[in-house]
Amino acid sequence: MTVLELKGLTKRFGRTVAADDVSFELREGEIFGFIGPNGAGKSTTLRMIIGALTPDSGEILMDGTPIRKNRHYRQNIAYVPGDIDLWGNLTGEEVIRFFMKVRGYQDTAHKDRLVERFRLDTKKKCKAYSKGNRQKVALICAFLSDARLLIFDEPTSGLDPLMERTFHEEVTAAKRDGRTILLSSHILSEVEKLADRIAIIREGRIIETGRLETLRHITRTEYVVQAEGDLDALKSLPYVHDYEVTDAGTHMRVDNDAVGDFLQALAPHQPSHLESLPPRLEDIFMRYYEDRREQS
Amino acid sequence: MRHFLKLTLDDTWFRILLWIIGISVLTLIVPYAFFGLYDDPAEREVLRETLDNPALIAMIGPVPEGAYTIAVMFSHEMLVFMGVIHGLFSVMIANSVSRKMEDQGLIEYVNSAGITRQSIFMTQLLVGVGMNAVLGIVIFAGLFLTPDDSFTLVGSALYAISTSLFGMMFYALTLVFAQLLPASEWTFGVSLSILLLLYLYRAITDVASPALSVISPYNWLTRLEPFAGNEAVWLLPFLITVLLFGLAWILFSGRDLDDAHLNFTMNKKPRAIGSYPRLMMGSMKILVASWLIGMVLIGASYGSIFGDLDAFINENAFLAESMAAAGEDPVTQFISVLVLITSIIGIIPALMISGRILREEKHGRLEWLESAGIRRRTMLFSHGIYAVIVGFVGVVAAMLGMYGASAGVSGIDMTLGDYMLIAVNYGGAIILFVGLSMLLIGISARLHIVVWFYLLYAFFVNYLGIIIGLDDAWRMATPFHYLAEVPKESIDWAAWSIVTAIGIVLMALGVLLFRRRDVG
Ligand SMILES: Nc1ncnc2c1ncn2[C@@H]1O[C@H](COP(=O)(O)OP(=O)(O)OP(=O)(O)O)[C@@H](O)[C@H]1O
Ligand SMILES: [Mg+2]
Repeated sequence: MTVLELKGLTKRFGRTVAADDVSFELREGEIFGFIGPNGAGKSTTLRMIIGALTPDSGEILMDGTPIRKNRHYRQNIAYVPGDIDLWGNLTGEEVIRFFMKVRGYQDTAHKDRLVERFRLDTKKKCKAYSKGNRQKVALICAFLSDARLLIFDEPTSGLDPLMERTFHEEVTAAKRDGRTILLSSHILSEVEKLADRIAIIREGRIIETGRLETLRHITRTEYVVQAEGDLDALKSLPYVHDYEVTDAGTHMRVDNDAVGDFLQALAPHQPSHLESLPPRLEDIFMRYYEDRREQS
Repeated sequence: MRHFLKLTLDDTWFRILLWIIGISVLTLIVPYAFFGLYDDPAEREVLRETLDNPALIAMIGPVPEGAYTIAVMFSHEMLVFMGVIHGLFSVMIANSVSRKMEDQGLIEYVNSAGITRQSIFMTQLLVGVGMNAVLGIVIFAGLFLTPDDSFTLVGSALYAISTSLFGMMFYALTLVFAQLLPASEWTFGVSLSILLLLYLYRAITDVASPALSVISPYNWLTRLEPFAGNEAVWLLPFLITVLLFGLAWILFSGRDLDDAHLNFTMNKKPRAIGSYPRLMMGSMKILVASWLIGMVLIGASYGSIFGDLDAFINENAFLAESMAAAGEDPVTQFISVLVLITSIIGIIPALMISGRILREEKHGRLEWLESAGIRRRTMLFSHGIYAVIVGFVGVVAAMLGMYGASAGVSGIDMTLGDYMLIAVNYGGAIILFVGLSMLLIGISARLHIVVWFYLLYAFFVNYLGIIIGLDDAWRMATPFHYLAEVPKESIDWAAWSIVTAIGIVLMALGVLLFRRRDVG
């Protein structure tokens, strides 16, 4: 079932087209990764979903109804902004309680558990919080809610690796509870770990959407090869990139749609060891951008 | 340090520029308002006579000796009042480059990026000295070029230098409080209070015992007598600024970032805030409390001169007779002037409160609150209604202060009820201004500044209207032209209803627009 559907969203700020015909949909219970470099239009898109911005054209549907026609749709959403300045003179505890009151939640045990998990000192005033701590407050408020759709804008940008893991665990738990999650990021490895499906946005335009596996046609796989002979001849093949000789062997990235050719070319060199590393989203980007550059 | 200076200026140059333009224009157009109206020395002499009464001495300071040229008249009527404006400019900018930046974590950030404390402080100092110097140069040039012989080189220089130094002094004072107090609200509140209290102190002592007035820096400006006596020696007391800068540096280098020398750790128990209005009121507690106290003080200081006012009128039989002939009671005439000015000042906190919602927007909290189900409509209405309430209560507080301070004066037959009616009368103007503020907020966050310019305009044309009898046409663009001049006149309920209704319509429009516009 489709929880959220974006249809041809466009948003301009003066001459900048921050979002250009953005369309994708979120299915119930999935984690949807939304990735793109800085300034790609991720936040703009998310802020159209929560209603802070009105699209110039296009439509957003929640559970099949346009959000314009249902002002209460926000009850189903919890949103964590990319960067937030909290009220300096309130403590973290007070902010979290305020959110619980406003949204009508009473489960303080759940709150205490989350505060503990995120190791937040809630007695401090918000103005003494670092970016990561402010983010934790917003994250706790979101996980605490019973919203069916959680929207995170670069949630881990201020968190240390340990907290990042806590966040991943909480997101996975939320998914287990049947909640739908929209997660924007430019940290690709994170989305890769968590997301069921992804959309890639660049300069306001969605350039790819789909399951990770199906995006592999535009990915490269990294191979580590050890061989008796000299491998340098491979270096000049059009589908071999980032060729590098190290102690552990020779590294190279190979376009996935040319694996057959690559293996044929490799065989005469009598490889003694062949290891492949899983494709990464960085590689998707790299290849995509290189293709574009060649075209233009 | 150059980087930090650039960063600081990136953040503030636009505001500084607006202030410099605003203050310069405000200062430099006034002489032109005098041309035509007061070309004749005899007319100026008459004006000088009418300004020599306790109500106006309290507002603008004592009347200077010697020939009352256009330039002397200009500096007499402007200097003290512009002191407040120059001071306000410096207090606001000083706070925003010091405690406010620190509250936002910016100072800590640049400090960790290797920019030393010295550089940070030097930057703050440079911004303050620089902006006041530029303003001084513009004003000096503008005054000197004013096409009237009385604007002499020395006089123009003294006027410009003294107002610049006055600004710098409050800049330095604000930096001192930025080290002492734990939050930018406190720094701003305390510095502004001192700026206003010194004004009020001067108002009372100028009327009651002029010798004591010298404690207030405003009186130094008066004693300089630019264009007349040109007593440059009164620039010397401003040397205290150097000490203040030194003190600020000692305090700054002797504390941790994000710490303060005075800390008020209150209520350890977490407060349970359950609604947006409560959140909003909580975040403006200091602001509201200090304004209400300020309003009582303003009312009380004006009230405290009523005795002198009465005595003055008894001494000036001629004035009393001529006013009585025109069907006016001189005392109520003066009171009408003072309550009008007080009410306009009372609009300031109201606009600060309605404009506060823009801070929520700027800090990205508005969209967060909205995503949690709090409606924009609720938020803007909360600010608007609270603004009207505080504005009204502020004027009531000032009236109570005035009533209390003048209770012992015999010649004044104003009941408490009369004072409350004054507050009701000008309550209409408060609603109108808050309405305009909400409309602008509804259109765009950037436009809100317009309502401040409008208030400044309203203040100025009314102020000049009172002092120099500026043509009433200027006031037609403000609600005060239409509202009755209580207590001299009784309330014109038809005009009052129309002003109030326009205000309410503007509020509603503002909310409608605000629901639709992009935020953040
Ligand atoms: N309110 C605004 N006014 C003008 N331009 C804006 C506004 N908001 C965003 N933009 C512009 O729109 C483009 C997209 O910005 P957006 O914040 O959506 O990017 P993003 O993908 O979230 O980037 P980041 O990873 O840096 O957060 C940028 O060029 C940005 O400068
Ligand atoms: Mg973003």
